[in-house]
Amino acid sequence: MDAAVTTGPAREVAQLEAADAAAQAARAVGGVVRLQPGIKGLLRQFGAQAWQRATGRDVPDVAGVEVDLSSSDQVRAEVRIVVGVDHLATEVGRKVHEAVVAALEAATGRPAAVQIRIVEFDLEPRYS
Amino acid sequence: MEMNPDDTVTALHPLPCGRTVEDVWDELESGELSAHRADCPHCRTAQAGLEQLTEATQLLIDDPVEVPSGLLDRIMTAVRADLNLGRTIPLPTEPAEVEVSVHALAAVLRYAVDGTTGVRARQCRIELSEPGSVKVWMSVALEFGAGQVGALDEARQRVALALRGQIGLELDTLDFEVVDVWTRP
Repeated sequence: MDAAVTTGPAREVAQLEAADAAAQAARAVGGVVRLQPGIKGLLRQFGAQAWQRATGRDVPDVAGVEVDLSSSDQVRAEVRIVVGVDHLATEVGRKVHEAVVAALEAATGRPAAVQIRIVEFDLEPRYS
Repeated sequence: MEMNPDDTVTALHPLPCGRTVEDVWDELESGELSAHRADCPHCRTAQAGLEQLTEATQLLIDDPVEVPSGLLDRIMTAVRADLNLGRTIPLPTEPAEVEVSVHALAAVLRYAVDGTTGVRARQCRIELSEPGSVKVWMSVALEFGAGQVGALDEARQRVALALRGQIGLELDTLDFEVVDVWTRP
């Protein structure tokens, strides 16, 4: 059992690193317009921005990604995405799933159980 | 679209002990400590959460930096994302677990129907009939004299095409209900 990441700030950091890996992997998939946080994720993003201004250190943008490292034998994650209608949603979802699972397993060394949720379709997508 | 009364934002948030989060909030605001709250683990958990929220809010209020641009937009988008997740439909991507918000799906289907001359989509209900295919019910308004039946056939094809080509689902059944007729001014 990996005791170092089960409690306290160490877990927060591990969680953020894993979420960052997942977010980058998801954003790299064609057809993903953006990752979309809910209210909880948005508040956390504001908190991160405040911390960034106060400390001058960068916090990765992980809004739209929830990572749960509380179980020592696997990592669970939920990724909320907005998909452009010019792509087939099942394909985008499958690729994001694959990319996020691979990124999380590489980042944590544990098997990943990942859920992808398409929260919105962009009817006139512009990819950044 | 009809709303489930349980979904309204005015609904209280009950705790397992029979009280509500709102009761705890009222008590915290008034500064009184009831005997119940002193002992109840549910109320104390709610209290801890509310205190964290108050603290976080205060930190944000005290933060002297200007409000980020597009703040309202970002908040509303986040609220919509939460609401959109009310009901979801699983996509046929086994073993990968991918779901799509029914609200988001309905928006795509309404958009597809609106592309038909003489037809305007109103409400849209979608249910999974079997894995990978859906039943759709949609109310529409038709333009008077626009060759309605032909227009609805085209709209039906557009829905089937959007489901197959943009989402990856098959259309099982589609019921249109004509709820209004308009004439061109």
